[in-house]
Amino acid sequence: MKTILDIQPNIMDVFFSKYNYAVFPIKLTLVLVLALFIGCGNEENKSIDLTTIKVGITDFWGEAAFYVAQAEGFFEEEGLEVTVFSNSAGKESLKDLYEGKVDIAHVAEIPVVFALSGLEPHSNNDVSLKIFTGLIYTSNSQKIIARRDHGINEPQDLNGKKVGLYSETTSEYFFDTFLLEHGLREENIERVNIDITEHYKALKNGQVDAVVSWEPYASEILRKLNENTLKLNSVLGHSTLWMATSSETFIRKHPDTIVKYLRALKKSQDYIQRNREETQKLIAKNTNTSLEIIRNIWDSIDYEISIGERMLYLLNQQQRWLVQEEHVDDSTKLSEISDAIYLEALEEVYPEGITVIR
Amino acid sequence: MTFKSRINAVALLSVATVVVLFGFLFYTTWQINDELNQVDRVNRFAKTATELNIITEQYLAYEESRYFEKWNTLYRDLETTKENIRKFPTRRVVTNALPSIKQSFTLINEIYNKPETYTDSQKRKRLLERATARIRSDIQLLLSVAHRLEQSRLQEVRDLQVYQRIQVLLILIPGIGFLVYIIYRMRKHTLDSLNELLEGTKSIAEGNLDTHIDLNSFEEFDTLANAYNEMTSELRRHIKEEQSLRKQAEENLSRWEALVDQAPNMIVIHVEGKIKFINEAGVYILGAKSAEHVIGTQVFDYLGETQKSRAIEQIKRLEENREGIDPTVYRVQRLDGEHRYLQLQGVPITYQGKPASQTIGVDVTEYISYEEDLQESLEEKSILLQEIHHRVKNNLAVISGMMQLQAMESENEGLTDKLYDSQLRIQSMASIHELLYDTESFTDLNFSDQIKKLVTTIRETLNTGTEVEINYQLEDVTLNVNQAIPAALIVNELVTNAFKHAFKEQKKGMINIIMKANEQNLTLTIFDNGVGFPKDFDIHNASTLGMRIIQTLCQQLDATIQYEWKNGSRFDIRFEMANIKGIGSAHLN
Repeated sequence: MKTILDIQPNIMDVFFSKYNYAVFPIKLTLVLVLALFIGCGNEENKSIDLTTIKVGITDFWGEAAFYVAQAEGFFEEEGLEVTVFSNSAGKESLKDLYEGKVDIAHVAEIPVVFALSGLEPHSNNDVSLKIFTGLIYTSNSQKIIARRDHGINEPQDLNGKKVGLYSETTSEYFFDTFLLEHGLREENIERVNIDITEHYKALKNGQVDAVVSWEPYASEILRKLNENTLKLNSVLGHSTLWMATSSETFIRKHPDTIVKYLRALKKSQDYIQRNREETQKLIAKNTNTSLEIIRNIWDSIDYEISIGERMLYLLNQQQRWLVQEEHVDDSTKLSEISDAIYLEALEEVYPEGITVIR
Repeated sequence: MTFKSRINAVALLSVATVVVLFGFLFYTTWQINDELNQVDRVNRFAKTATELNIITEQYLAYEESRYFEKWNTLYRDLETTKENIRKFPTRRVVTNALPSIKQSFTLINEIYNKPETYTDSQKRKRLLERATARIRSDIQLLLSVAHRLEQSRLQEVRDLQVYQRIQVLLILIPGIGFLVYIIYRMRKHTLDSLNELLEGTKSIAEGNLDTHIDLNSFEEFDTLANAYNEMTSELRRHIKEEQSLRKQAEENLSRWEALVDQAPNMIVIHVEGKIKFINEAGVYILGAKSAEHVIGTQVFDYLGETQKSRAIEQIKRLEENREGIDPTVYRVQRLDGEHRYLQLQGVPITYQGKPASQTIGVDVTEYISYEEDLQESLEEKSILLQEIHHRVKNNLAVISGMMQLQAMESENEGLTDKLYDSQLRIQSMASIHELLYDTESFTDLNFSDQIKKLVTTIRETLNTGTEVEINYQLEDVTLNVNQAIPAALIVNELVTNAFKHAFKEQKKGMINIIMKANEQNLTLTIFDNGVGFPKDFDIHNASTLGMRIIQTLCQQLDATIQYEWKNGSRFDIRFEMANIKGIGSAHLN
């Protein structure tokens, strides 16, 4: 814990600080001088060799930092050439990571917990999963949307109904919490595994009576089906994590690439804080969601690269749930969550984002 | 621009820099303190959130109501503290955390308080775990937010501190730089100007009055340079005038020396009596062969012992008081022993820077000789005149005596009276001549004495048997003999008339004689307490001899006479006193 006595101003921090209106002329001069030096430099400097990395992402608004880094060229600035593997859910990206198709996977907590518990399809022990940053803070991005015309007006009405959810995603944990909160028996409800992108059609077509979905799909369904649907309340809700993961092997071989990747995301983070409207438009475009929905749900998410005690707690909690639900049949395959945390890169790029007890 | 204005500008700029600097420091220090205050609030928020987490655990472990109450207190504190934190995130992801904690805790309470709703102990336990997890998760989120806020605030403080330093430098460097530049310029200007002035002054001191100082500096220095230039110009003009005056003075001196040498009178310049200069005439008067024989001697050496002390006193007064000496005749002994009379007149002068006396001596030996002869002749004439008056008086006394004898022998009373009247008239004239030769002056006499003497003579001559008291109120008046004689004859006529006619029926009588002079006007009043003249008496048409004589005498004096009866006769005679030349030019002619 730093104290006031430890405050040591960093000249570079101040240089880029918002308070430095008065030093603007100095800044301008320095920038011009730097530009002059750069302009006079060797032409070869312009063609820096880029490091190619493959990243698995989801069409999800939690990917805003990634979208911005791509759009604003922050990856290139950091010397990275990113190849995107776009999936409908994080678990697919994680699967790609385990299969060696991608170097970095953006994923929510349940797939991570599955992987760290040695469950299929993540049983490849050669891939030691490492979480090197969280990407967002969000609350209640998971929602249960039901058809009114199917006689559902409150949670208890789900008894005897079909509920669609994407298995092995965070929706499973959230739905389990929902059932506990409302005293519903799991055996009275029929679960149907449906890809997140098919939730709207499944609900619209009556394939299911309700879906457990996440944003922005949830809001999109509510908007499209309008009066025919309702959102079922949950006090406990679920705070989704969205994490950037990689294999220990890749990190060990390319620690600088992880640092560069984080630097690009950190630039995006700063950009998002300064350019709200542009970011919203970018998310709408990349997730194929209306701008209105993005604006409505904007306040329920915060973009910051971080690794906090909250992340560890939620991951541990959900790992315990897996054990309770007897998904894990060989407890010896359970990995320590804390061992899966890779702090060095974030420590170098953005130490303020680390709030774990060490 | 003036030096004073520049100094004022420097002082003003210094004060402004200090004021701006202190103002800025005060403002940024306030900002830093405000940020640190916010950091304290964030820390308090984080501490309360941590305590809330602990109390939640305690409550779950022991289900005691005191933990429930404490939980509510801490939750309220958390809400209050959050409200006091500026820039606390307003996004729902953060703002929903607190209500979510409350709702989760409420759910926990509901699970505890309504066991009939949650009959499945396994599920009840798991629900409690989820609710607790939710609380912990939200508290962790709030702690992360608090951590970020704290870091952000501390960063702002760091930024402010650096900003403060940079701004202080930005204020100080240009401010002090500008001040140093101005002071440097002022110093250079001042030193350059002073050097030019010094060089100019040296040049002037070396006698080069054509030096012209050209400055393009502060107004004061320009003014000083102009004053220098004016001074040199004035000096040049003054020197030119001085040279002209000196030339004129030299010419004057030459002229003076020529005049002095050619002057017929002795001119001596002496300091404390010692002769420093003497002209040719002086050398001649003193009987010296040349001026060198006289220069260096004392002026007193040429005076007799009796005059030395007076000469010493006069020279002392002249040299000390710088007063001139009035012309004084001294008897001087020449070097050849001959005595000469010189009229000496001294004036104070400055000779060779010292106070000195310039004495001009005029040889008045011949005048003195003439004066002595004249005095001798005058004395002889005075004696002669005295003798004439004596003889006239004696002759009038003889005439008076003969008339008295004639009157005594006459049996005609009327004739006797007329003879006595004439005798008195002659005696009055004789007494005037007597007074004239008794006095030093032969023209003026004291008329009050004359009146008293005349009235005494009348009283003695006219023994009427009536006791007459004479009262005098006579001012001391000196009259010229040509006015004294007719005036005395008028008094004689009036007093004689009073003695003879005024007191016939009385045993005692009184005559008052008053004489007053007002500047040149004389008023002579004679009045008695006698019977007076007839009522139809007109002095201007009176036919008696006495009255005709009085009228004639008044005409001679150009006098007016008035008569008035008021318990007696009163005559007022007024005339202007005049110095009439000649003796006895008119009496009764």
